[in-house]
Amino acid sequence: MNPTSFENQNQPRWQRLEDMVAATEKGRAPDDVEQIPTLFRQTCHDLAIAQNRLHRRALIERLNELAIRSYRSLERRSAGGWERIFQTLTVTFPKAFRSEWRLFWFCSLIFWGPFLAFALWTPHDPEWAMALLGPKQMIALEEMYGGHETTQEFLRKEHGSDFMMFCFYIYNNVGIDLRTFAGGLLGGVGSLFILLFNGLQIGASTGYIHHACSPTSFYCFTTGHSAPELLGMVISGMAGMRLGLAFLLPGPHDRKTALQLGGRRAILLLAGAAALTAFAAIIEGFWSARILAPWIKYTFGACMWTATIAYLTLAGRNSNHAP
Amino acid sequence: MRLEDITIALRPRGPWEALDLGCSLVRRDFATLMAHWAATVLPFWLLLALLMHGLPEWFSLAAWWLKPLYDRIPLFFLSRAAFGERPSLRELWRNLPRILRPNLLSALFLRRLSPSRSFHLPASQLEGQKGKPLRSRIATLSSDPAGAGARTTWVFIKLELAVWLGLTVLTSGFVPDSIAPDFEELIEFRDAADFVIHPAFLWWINLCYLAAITIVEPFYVGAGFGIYLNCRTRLEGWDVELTFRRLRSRLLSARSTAAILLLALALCLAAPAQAALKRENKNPAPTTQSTQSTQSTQSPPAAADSRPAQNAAKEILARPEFKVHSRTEKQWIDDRSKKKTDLSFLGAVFKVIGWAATAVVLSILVVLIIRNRHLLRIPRWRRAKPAAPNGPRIVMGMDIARESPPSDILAAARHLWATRGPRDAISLLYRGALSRLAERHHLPIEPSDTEHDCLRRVRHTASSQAASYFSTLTTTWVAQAYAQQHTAHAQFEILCGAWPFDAEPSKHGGPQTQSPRAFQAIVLCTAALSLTACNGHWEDKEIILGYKNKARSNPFLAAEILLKEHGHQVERTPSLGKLPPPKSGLLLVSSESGVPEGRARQLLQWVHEGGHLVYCMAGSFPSNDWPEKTYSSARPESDQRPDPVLAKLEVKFQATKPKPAKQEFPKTPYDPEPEPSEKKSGETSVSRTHFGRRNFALELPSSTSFSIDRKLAKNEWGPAPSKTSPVLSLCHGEGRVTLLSHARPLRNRYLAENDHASWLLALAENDTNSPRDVRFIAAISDGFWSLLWRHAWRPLVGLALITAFWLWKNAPRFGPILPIELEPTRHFSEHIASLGHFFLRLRREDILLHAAAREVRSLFARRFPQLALCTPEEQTAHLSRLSGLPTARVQTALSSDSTRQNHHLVQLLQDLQTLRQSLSL
Amino acid sequence: MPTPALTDTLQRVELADGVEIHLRIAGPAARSVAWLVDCAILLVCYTLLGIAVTYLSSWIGNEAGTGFFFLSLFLLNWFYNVAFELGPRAASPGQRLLGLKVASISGGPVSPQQSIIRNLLRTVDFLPFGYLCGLGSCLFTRRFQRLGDLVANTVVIYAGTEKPGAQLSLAHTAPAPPPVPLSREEQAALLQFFERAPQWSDQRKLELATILEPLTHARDAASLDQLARMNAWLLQLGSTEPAQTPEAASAATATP
Repeated sequence: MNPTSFENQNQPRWQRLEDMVAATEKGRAPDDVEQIPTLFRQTCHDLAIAQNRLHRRALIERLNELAIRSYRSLERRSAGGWERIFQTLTVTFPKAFRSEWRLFWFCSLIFWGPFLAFALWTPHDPEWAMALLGPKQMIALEEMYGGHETTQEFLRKEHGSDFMMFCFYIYNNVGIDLRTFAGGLLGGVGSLFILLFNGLQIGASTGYIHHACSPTSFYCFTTGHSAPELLGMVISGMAGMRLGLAFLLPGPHDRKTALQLGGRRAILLLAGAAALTAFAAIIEGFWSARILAPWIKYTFGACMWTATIAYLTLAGRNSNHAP
Repeated sequence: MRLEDITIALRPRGPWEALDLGCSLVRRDFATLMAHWAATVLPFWLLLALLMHGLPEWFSLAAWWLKPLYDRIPLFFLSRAAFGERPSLRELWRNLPRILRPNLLSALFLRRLSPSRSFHLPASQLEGQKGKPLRSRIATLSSDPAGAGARTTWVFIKLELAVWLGLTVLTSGFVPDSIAPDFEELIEFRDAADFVIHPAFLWWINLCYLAAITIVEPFYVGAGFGIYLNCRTRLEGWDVELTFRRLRSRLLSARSTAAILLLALALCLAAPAQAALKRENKNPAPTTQSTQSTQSTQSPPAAADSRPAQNAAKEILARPEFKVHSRTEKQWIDDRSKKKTDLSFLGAVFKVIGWAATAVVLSILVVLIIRNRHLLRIPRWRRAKPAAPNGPRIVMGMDIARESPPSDILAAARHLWATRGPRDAISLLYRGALSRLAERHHLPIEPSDTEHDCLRRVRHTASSQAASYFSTLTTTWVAQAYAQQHTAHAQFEILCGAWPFDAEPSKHGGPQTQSPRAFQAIVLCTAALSLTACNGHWEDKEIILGYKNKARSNPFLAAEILLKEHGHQVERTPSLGKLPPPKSGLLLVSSESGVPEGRARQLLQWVHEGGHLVYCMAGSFPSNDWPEKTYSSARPESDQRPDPVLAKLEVKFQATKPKPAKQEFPKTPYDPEPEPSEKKSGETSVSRTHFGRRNFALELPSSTSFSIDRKLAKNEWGPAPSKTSPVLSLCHGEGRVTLLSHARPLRNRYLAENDHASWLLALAENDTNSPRDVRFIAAISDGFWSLLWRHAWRPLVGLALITAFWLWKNAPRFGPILPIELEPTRHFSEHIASLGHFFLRLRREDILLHAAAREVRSLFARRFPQLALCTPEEQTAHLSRLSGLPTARVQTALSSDSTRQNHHLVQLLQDLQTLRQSLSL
Repeated sequence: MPTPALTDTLQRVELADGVEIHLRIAGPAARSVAWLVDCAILLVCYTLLGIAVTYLSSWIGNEAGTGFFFLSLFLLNWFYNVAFELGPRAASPGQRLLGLKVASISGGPVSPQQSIIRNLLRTVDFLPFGYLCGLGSCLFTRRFQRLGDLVANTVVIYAGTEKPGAQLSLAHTAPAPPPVPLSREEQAALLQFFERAPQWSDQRKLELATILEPLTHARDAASLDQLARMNAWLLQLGSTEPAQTPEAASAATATP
């Protein structure tokens, strides 16, 4: 068959595929949509023939483009839908988390070590905590937990409604999680630094509040959301470290492949961490600022801690689905 | 160079792709390219740096300008590497003159700023053309739409800037503070001429720039080369040519002779290839012109021994670091303001005249602009109103426009009579008369008018005298011109004598006749008038800029030096850090940026143990003390938080009313003079305060002050109950707290005034003559990292070393053990899965169900061919028996042609799956 | 003799049916311009958002307005690119302007995971300032990938093709076989010559045709005519089998 007749014969078919793919790209389904896979396969065949028989360059390029377009159209997955998200949160993420238990202890050490050190040491010698916090932050802490007025009233006055605070916590805390993950690419240094620094900062704040402010109002405010928020931070650190370790210790693969594999595992952890932090933001925005008796708050906090730990250790244990 | 060895895949590409091709060419051989770069460009830069060692600020510019010089080195390499030849360094050196010479001057000057520089370079360097052929060659090459030379340059300028900035930020951590310029100073003085940048800082910036060039420039050259290759491929079919040549050489060598490749001619790529003027400060000394002598006589006896301290302070302030910088500037000094104070009536008159003159000038300007708006080329206006009829220029073939007759018509006419005869002379007179009439009386003549028409019109418009004259003149002219009657000389003289048009225009002109000259006169007059109205003159005015450098950034420098000279130990620290031993310590703390509770406790604890705390509520920010601050309110109103130190001492601190602050002593009249310009309406006031056994005069802003409710103890000095004072000194435990509403008395500029210096010394001594450990703490800011480094650098370094060692031991360095392909050829089932997703996404589940049902049916037909002739009901029943599913479900699953069961999709598919499995057993 | 791979900007991907598609990978230049455009768009978005929130505040209260502002800031910051990459065009507006597309390394569309990874890691690519890391990685990897692309296994490709130019009509040429067997590459060059000839000047055509004098035994127009015949012959036969090279022919004769 000579090139001209090849082109003339197949032209309508290509045109048809082109039109159908254009329609599906816009989200419409043509009636004979079941033809697309067949047409695609035929076009691939034509492309192979054209390449082999040295047909016109313009033709080859057109077929190449058409093949890529239809391929992309066929391969495009929907984001997965609610089912997939649900599956991820209830099964896949807790499983992935449990499989990374070594990293969890490492990141916990990095985060809770400085936290506890500062929180316990500051009441005896506040100098380090004060140097770390700086006057601005110390004054802010005093205003919040100083005991002149209740923390909740103060927050209302400063930040306005619950909704706004919720949005702010999403913007700020989830943003920190995402940055922690990204920092992992620098050989894990970025993640470790953010984790360490946050541990120091939160520990110093706690210690300073014990030193100069009223701890009751502080704990009343924070117990509710502390479990998902702090664990979310540690898990985002794990995600970052997964990436960093893939670069540092690629195992049997080369670094690029190891990074890609590590990235796939890390993104699961990160999704969970972001979900936990967002959940914490909901509590922080809509519950923590409520004025309730301390024992209610403490009970709620204890429940949250139990629930979070139970979720991380138990969820998805009996599921048969492979992640 | 062998054509077979070409290492680039040539084909016509889009512009961006061509650019990318160049980039990947460079990437392929980047290491070798860098070696070439280091061998040629780096020594050149070193040489350049040696030559320009005194001009670091120009070095970057020079390095940037000379870029065409370096561009040739990567290009030489790339053009060889395109044919698989990697020239060695020796080859490079040998070819260097040939690389650099061609078109060097034009590249460095003529084409330096051309935006498609990198694209032109291959044409000029590799093709070895010059002058006009080169230009036409470039024009040909850039005619291709895919030639994106210009775009390349912009893109790479951007990338170079990004790399430069990135490198600067990356390395900025290693730049010591001592060489970093004080940009705050620049902002404060707004005087770039005096702004000094350390040369080392400039060299650091230059180094970053050179690094950026080194990284980006080869890619830029490569991109230009890629575009050049692409243009040749598209315009000339260079890829085809190369293949043809290869074919030709194959045929030739195969055919007969061992023909050596002498063909590289046309495509021979290897063709030879190119202080700031410091204003002298005239201000002699920073003495702040304070004359303090008058006060000393009035002061109580203590003032006598304040003098040595004040003198010492003055001496300190006379040192070069306290030089008050200033610059002179010409300024327009308006005298009216002075006059207004003196002669109010005259001043008002002048003012009115001045304003009136200005108004007149402005309105004239407006009128002028409107009249001459055609000059402004606003077409709409021009169309709206045609040009005013200025009368025709030519009547009866004669040019009567005003310019055409000479200005003195009579003299000219007489001259013509004598030289050319009566006809010309009378003609001139007639023309002149018409012209004058047309000009002055706006005589409405048309080009088509005859002499009689003109006469009629003149009689209509002009004065009778002029009309009668014009009538005589017309008669004479008609007789002369048409009847050829010679006019007698006498008659001509009569006509000349009676010439009525030389009188002043204003005599004839109506009020509407305004020549531009009149305008000019008016403008000049009013301008002169307005000038006289606004008296003033240019004057050199000195603008004081204040202290620079250390004295600017440390407002207590003079105080520190003074204390040091008196044997105290002085330290300025940014943070509280470790406090000095309480018994011999003096702390100067500012609460300006807020004092947290914890710090307050710490400070008071220290005081309790015997320290002396001087606690300033405001005024310790670094600045140059010029111009005078306005002390509206020392603390911002919004800050409602009570100061923890004051709260613990039970002292109130409040803003006082604008009226002058009450002083605790009903004291002798004290005139703060002699700085009328600086002390405005009682912003500051002098207050007397005791310290120890002495009495000091301190000048403080009067906007804020302290009050205390309890009765003062013996050693406490402050206001009487229910009175306020800006200074308060209290005992606390074994120590003392001195509260100061503003740190003004201790600042560099004011230290030598009043009794400030001696008061400071008194504070330091505090009745004990032992030397003190004085700390100035400007703002209680954090220093966690410095603290950490100071105390824990050993463990930190150890930890870093251990980590590095561990990584060295554990991180693999010799490549992967197991190479795997992450995206291998996909499994067939994955394709099927993606198709399922595809149909699901397009909401066409029926296709999937249909396919599955068909599969089950065909399986059934294959397994039980004997049942093919049975009714569908029997088949269904059989299937139901086989799979254990209810008959109804089997039927539904198999008849899934309709789309209504889509919401059962999962169940239907599961059923079909069960059916299939049962059949395949 | 194995020849080293030629430097190219194409990425070959084998689809399941054994057919090869060619992805045209985009480099740092086009991508940086696309990023600048996106930057400008984001700036405009932020400004509009600010204005909208100011107006919205009067309706729903100041705090809620600020809350919305933070929420949209968060989404714009982190998910602007993700949203566009997962859309049908797989390109942010800036990339669309320059004709770019984000693709998985196999040429398929990016999965949500990949898109999120590559965009979260922008933070690292930006370090220390002005995308220095990303630019370096982009310049020095074979497929012009920045760090985020490396981890997510994605590339940025050019979408769309150029419009083909005019075509030469060779209907009346009588086909004639080339006197010597031509290799595949040489056949391709000959076909390319006649495909692209309309864009070249006549002089250039003759010049190229004359190079093949040993093949056609003619010069200038005569050579061109000969070549046109060979071209027609190649087109007619479809040239399914690569013609034998001399070595292959000699090998074939030697075996029996």
